[in-house]
Amino acid sequence: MIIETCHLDYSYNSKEPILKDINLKVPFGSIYGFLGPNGAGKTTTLRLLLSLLKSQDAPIRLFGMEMQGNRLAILKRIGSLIESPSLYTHLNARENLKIYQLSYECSKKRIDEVLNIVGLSGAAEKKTKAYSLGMKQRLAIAIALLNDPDLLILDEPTNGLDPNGIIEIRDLFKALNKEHGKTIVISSHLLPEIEKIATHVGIINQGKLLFQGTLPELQELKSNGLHIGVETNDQLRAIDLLKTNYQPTQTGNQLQISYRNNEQIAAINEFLVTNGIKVYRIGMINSDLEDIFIQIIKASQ
Amino acid sequence: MSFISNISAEFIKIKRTFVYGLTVIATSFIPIINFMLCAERPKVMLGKFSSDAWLQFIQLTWKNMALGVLPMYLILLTNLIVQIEFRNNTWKQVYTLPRSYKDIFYSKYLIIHLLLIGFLILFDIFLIISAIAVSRVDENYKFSLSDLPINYLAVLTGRIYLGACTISAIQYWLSLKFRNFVIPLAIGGSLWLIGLMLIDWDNIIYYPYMYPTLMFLTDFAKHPDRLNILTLSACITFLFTTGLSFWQINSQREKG
Repeated sequence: MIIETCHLDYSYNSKEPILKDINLKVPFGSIYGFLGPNGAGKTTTLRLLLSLLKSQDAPIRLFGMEMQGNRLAILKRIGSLIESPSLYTHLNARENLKIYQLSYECSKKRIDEVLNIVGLSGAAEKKTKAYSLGMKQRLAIAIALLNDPDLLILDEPTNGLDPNGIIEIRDLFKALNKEHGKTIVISSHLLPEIEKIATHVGIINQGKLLFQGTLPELQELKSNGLHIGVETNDQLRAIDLLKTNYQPTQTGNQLQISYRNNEQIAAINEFLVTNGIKVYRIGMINSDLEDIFIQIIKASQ
Repeated sequence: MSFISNISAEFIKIKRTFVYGLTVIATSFIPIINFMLCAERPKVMLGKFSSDAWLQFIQLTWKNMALGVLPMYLILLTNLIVQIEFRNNTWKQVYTLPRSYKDIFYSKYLIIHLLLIGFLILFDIFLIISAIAVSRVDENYKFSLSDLPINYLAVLTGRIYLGACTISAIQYWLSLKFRNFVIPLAIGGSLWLIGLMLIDWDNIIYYPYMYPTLMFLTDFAKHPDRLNILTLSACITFLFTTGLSFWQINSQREKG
C-alpha cells in the first residue's frame, strides 16, 4: 500500500471527533477516489496525510514509512493541492513555479514542461491575480506535478474548471496513472466524476469511512439500489398488481420500484400494459451519493 | 544548498511587493529633509556644524531614524513579509514542501535581517550623499569624504542593528502568530509609542522596543555600564524570542 492509516482518529478540540477510526488503504498505482459530502472529513484526512495536521497517536504510513520521523523523505515524493489553489497572486505563473522549483531543487526545464502539460504556456508571463479560477486551478496542478511525484494528493482538483477543462484534466490524470505509474488520490463530493476516473474508491461520511474497495465493488453495491420511476393512469391499481413481486412505493406522483437489470424494466412495463394499465412514463432514478450512503448503511446493518 | 535555494525562493516572493519601495522611501526621507533644511536655512544650520561637522550631521540625521522611522519600518517590513503567505493562502503549500520547519522559519527570518541590514547601509549611504550634496550647494558646509568618521558611523550603525534585532524578533513572532495583519501592527505600534512615552523611566533600559533608540541616545562615554546592559539585554531578548517563536511554530498542531 502506498498510503495506510491505522485506526486514525482526529478532533480539532476534545469535544467532537472529526475523524473516527479511518483505515485508509491506497494501493500502489491506483487512482483512489475519496468521496464524501462537504464537511465529511475528506480535507482533514488529506491534511493529516500531508502532515499539515499532527495525528494523535495513530500511525500514518506512506511509501511504507511512518510519517513521524520521515516527513521530508515522504514529502519529496508527493505533489499536492489542498482546498483552493495556493498562488502568489502578485507574481506570474513562471515566477510561482520558480519558487517551488527552487524548493524542490528540480530541473528548471520542468517549469516549461508542467506549464505545457496544464496548457498554460501562453499565459506564463501573466500575473496570476488576473487568472480565472480555472486557470488558477491548472497552475496549482502544475505546481503539484513540478517535482514529478510518485503520489499526487489532490483535493477537489476540478473545482472551477469548465466542462472541457474537466475532461482534459481527467485525461491527464489517467495518462499520468497509466503511462507513468503515478498513484493519485482525488477527493470529490461528486460520484459521477469519481466513477469516470477512479480504480478504487473510499467513501467517507461524518468522519467515518463507510466503504472502501474497487470501483466494480462499488458499482455492484450501487446496482443493489437501482430504482425506476413509473407514472400510470391508475397508480393504486398498479401498486396492487406489482406488490407481490416488486414492492413498489408511491413517491409524489410516481411509483418507485427497485430493479436489477434492464430485462426487469421491460417485464414490469409489459405486465402493466397487459393488465390494462396505461404507462405514461417510465425511467431510471439516478442514484446519487446520498442513495449510496443509505445503501451502504443498510448493507452494514 | 537547499537553504540557499529557499532563500532565493523567498526573494522571488517579495518581487513586486511594497518591500523595496518602503525601504527606499524610509531610508531616503530623512537625508532629503536634512539636505533641504541645510540648503534652505544655512544661518540656522551652519551654527550646529561649527565643530565636529560630520559627527553633528550624523547625529542630527540618525536621531529621527532611531526614534521613529526604524522601529516603524521594522514593524511594517516584518508584517509585509509574513503576510505574503497569509494573504495568498500559501502556508499550506509551503508546509507540504520537503523543507524542514527550521528551514521555513529561518529562511524568512534571514530575509528580514538581510533587508534590515540593507536598510541601515542604504540609510548611511543616503546620509553621506546628503552631507556631500549640501557642501556642494553651499561651500560654507565643510563635509568631505576624507573627514568622514567611518568607524564611528559603523559602530553606531552596528549597535542600532543589535537594538533593532529585538524588535524584529518580537514582530516576527507576532506576525506568524496572528493571521490578521492589523493585530501585529497595532501591538507593535502601541509598544513603540508606549516606549516613547516612558523614555525617561529609570528602567527603560529593559524595554526592547526602545533598544535601537537607546543605542543612539545613550552617551556610552559617560555611562559605559549601560552599553553592557543594553547589549546583553538585546542579545538575550533576541535569542529568547527567536527560540520561543520557533518552538511555537514547530509545536503547532495545525500548520498552513
